[in-house]
Amino acid sequence: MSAYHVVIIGGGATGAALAHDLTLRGVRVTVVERGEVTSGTTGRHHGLLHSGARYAVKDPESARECIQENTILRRIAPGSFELNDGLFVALTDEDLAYYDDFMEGCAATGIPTRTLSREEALRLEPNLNPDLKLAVQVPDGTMDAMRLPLRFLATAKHNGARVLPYHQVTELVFQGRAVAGVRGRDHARNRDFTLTADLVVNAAGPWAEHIARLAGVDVPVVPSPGVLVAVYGRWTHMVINRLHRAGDGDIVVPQRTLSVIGTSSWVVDDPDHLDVPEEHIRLMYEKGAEMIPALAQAPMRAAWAAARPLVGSRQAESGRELSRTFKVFDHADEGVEGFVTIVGGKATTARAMAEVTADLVVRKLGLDAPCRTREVVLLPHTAYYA
Amino acid sequence: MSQTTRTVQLRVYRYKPGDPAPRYDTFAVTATPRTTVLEALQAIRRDQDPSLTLRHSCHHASCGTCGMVVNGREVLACVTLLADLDAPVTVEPLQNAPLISDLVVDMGPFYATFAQAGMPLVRTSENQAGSRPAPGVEALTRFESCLECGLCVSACPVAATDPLYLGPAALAAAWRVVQEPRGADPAQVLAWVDQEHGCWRCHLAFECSTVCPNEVQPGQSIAALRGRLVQGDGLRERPAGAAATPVPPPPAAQRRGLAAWFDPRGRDVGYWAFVLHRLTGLALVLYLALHLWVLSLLARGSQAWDDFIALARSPLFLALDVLLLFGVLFHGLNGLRVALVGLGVAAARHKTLFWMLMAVLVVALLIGGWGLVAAAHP
Ligand SMILES: Cc1cc2nc3c(=O)[nH]c(=O)nc-3n(C[C@H](O)[C@H](O)[C@H](O)COP(=O)(O)OP(=O)(O)OC[C@H]3O[C@@H](n4cnc5c(N)ncnc54)[C@H](O)[C@@H]3O)c2cc1C
Ligand code: SF4
Ligand code: FES
Repeated sequence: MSAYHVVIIGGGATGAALAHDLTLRGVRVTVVERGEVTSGTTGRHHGLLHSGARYAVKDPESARECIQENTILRRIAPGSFELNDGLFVALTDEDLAYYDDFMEGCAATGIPTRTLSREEALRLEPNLNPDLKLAVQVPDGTMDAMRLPLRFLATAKHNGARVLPYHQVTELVFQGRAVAGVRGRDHARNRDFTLTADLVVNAAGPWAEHIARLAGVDVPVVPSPGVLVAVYGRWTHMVINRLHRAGDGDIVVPQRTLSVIGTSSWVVDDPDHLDVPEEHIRLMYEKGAEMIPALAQAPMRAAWAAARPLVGSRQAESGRELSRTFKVFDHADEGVEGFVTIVGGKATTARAMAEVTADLVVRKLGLDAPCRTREVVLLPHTAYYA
Repeated sequence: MSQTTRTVQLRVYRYKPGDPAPRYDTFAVTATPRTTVLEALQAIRRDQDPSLTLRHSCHHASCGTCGMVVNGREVLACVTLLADLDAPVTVEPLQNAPLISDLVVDMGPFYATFAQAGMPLVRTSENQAGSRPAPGVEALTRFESCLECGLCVSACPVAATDPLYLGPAALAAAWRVVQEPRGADPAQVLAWVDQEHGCWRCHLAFECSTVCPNEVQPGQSIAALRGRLVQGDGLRERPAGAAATPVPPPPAAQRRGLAAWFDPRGRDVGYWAFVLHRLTGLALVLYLALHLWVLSLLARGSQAWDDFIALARSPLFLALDVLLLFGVLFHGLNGLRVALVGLGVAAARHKTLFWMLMAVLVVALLIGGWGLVAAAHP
């Protein structure tokens, strides 16, 4: 293991995958997370292992990332996914008109598809709206939002990384113009802590802008919340998407014995203030029931909101216009050495985000260590706590 | 928001390593009819006390991290509405797990045991072609329903006294592997649970099944494991060298100890039966001692005996006799239930069985009580 020490701020999917990647490259890693790991956006996401099909038309870069990572994750995290596939269902003539663009986009980005007739689709999923026109099967899957990142963290810990939950960063330590560590509060023990580091990575998701400000730099992150509604009952076995441009309530992900309807999209200033507007809950029910009529009567288990860490202009209105791809910032470009930010993306693409970030980190540290996360099979999530 | 809001008081358990003793802090939060305990705690941390630590992740009863004891009951904070609780709402960490800070417990010992059952989280064998239609939700219910939240372990009176007990969640996971091995070796798992701290340790309070947020029914699984072991095929299949592996004692957990055996407040009927069983058991032992003493009066001559007989006809003594009869009947009948359910018979209907036997108890008590009084005052 090299003598270099990297501190990662944020124990979400991104920080977890990065800890794993850097540890495999021989770097000493400490993850600091202000709450329990995955207590930010990550644990609250929809639980979809993206095939990328949702982005195939408007955001081909994200689509390509998704399908590549989808394939890699199935290999390195066996047992973490239900390989249940997804359907894009066309309900109206307008939906049907989108079909050609959709198929073209999937073909161009390498997403396998299979078109099903109305009858075939209803045979596989009898609870679908019987008025559907056709459906397209894609390799979506259900994942456990918390347990996949736990596997990254468990493997990283096993390889020597330190994970410090309940450690909130409040300040960066500077040496001249270079970031040389972090300072903050250990809430579990009610005391301050300081960690020195050769490099600090800001992986604070929707809070990334706040952390960047501690270094006097700016990252264009737009916290864009979405509401999700979990209802009792597993009404379909596959993930059900609306064959349509991305819109509110266009996807239902079966999770264990629940079905989760999502999502909406708006923008906020502070990711710690997310409410769950009543009208969004109603909208999820309404839109979900268009695809699966039984959802209208399914009792609600929970409704919640999570904030996407989208990269883009603060002028964004709903967040839907922003790409779902990610961006790595080397703040040396703004004159601050030893400080890197990684934001955006999806939980599905966390490994790829980590790879690109770690490439930059090792280059900056002057190490020659290739990425190994495409091959290394992750430890089970139970190994994180045990 | 247009919804009506109100102010709710929360009494929150606070403890940091090094503190001489835990304390309770009271916070006031504004709540709508939809505000959950988790949201209230997040708001406290955000607006009032950033040092409050808690675990949460999914916010919809799926990850299992937000288990706490709220008003004396194990719940998932993310699906527990403040509106459904009596105020002030008392929030405490889970029991029978080492305490880290405030509401955060160490899940290490839980996972160390749970992982030994070797149950995969989800099936790996399902693919495109195998996609099954959903006739009803039940058909697709999978044990992987277990959220690994630890509520069952916190509520279990046996876990409160035996730190080595495998506990309801791990035993339920073991039963799933026996039911649906998917490549695992059920004999190995049966050998693992067939030990002093395994499935035989359970005393069938069934509180695990009551508090489980996802209908895993660990109590019934434990009974099923026992049933399988007594049928013998489990034992015959025991592979050589697969004797129960001793588990190293977990780090000191917060356990209520024997207090959990005698305090059924806020608990379900199985737990009350568990407590009454212990109380009647102890009472019967005491009675036996008393009985021997009474018999010893015979040796002291007829006067002593006659005095005693007079006393025995007093109303107080008769009342005690009826109480004794209740103790014998309860301990006997509930013992019957424990024996049957414990071997896997009627485990799913354990409450019905309990109430049927209690009906028998009432009838027997009425007849017996009348008989006692009639015999004393003919
Ligand atoms: C509604 C919704 C649905 C989604 N559905 C999906 C989906 O189905 N599939 C998918 O692949 N992706 C999905 N996503 C996207 C995905 O959830 C996110 O892209 C991903 O979880 C981001 O992870 P992260 O680690 O970058 O951010 P986070 O998970 O937010 O991690 C950042 C961490 O930094 C911590 N932090 C913040 N400030 C500090 C500090 N000062 N000190 C220490 N730590 C700090 C936070 O507590 C947090 O845990 C969805 C997103 C949303 C909003
Ligand atoms: S059996 Fe139920 S209560 Fe116990 S850990 Fe699993 S989900 Fe939680
Ligand atoms: S936060 Fe996941 S179960 Fe409550």
